[in-house]
Amino acid sequence: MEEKLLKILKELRPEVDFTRETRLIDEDILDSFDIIALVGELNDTFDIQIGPEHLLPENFNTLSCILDLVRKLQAEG
Amino acid sequence: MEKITDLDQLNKLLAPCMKRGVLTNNYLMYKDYKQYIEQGVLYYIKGRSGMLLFRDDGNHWRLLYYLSGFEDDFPLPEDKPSVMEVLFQAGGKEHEPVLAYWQSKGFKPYLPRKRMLVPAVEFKAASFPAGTVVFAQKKHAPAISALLSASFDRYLGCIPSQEEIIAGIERKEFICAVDARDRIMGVLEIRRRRNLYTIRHLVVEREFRGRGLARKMLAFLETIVEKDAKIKIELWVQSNNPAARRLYEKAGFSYDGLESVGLLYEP
Repeated sequence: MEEKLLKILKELRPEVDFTRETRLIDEDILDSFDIIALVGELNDTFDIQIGPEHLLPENFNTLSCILDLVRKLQAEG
Repeated sequence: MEKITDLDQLNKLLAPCMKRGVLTNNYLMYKDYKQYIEQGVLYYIKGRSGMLLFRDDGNHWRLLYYLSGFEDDFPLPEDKPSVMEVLFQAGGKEHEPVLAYWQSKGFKPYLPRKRMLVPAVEFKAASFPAGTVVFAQKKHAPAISALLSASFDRYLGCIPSQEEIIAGIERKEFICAVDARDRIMGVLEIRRRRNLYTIRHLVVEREFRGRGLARKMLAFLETIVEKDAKIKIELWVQSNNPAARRLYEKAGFSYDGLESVGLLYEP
């Protein structure tokens, strides 16, 4: 799953090292345009529903945060 | 048009729209939705292949769309204008059918703009003698309000209210060029969010143009921005304003490829 997620992120922003960055939102590495594009891809790829309630900086600040969000929503079915 | 009364309702409406391939101009985040729902200003219309969100902005409706097709004939509000902004990357074509669709519904394009960015460490405004540029004080608020209202688009110009100006003055977000009688000759509004400064407004009163006041205000700004490698400064410049573009380019700004066009429907 992590590999799939990394592939999506790399396609979105190839110049960013998502394995190292810990403040993707806090340092404006990803902006709101990126987040919305990312959410569409995540919803389709992982068959989940990220909605407005999940559009919080803490859900997207690191690769691991995004992974946790995806896992949580998959578990919720 | 139905009102959105709580976040749960909003989630149920929007989550199914947030899919790959759905065309949207909505980049709001959770805190924005929370604020708008609390203010009671968010509404929606559902169609067969799309959904529209409307935010009541007082003198107009701000329209945010989700479109997975172009078959719908949404009933637009007739009590006041509807306005939207469509963002796109220069050279991209995805936005073209969206623009064509909305124009077929009576929207007229206007206010084409381009984003310009500069890393803060490369921001270099020419230095001019100090003295005529200061942080605004509360007493300047009415004049600032009048100048911004007269100079920027009333729908997409992000014109702050006087209360918002006063709050911004307290946060040192308003820089003014003033004359010997403390009259406002020009205004620069700067807002910082995390690692990004945004020049929200920069304007010089018509009678004082040609004196380099815009450059002086940018020079003052240069003295206060944090010069860190991770920090950037952005602004949106009208595509048909080459003089403004040249001013910003001299300060180190360049287009980053993001453009926007406004669409206005007047009943």
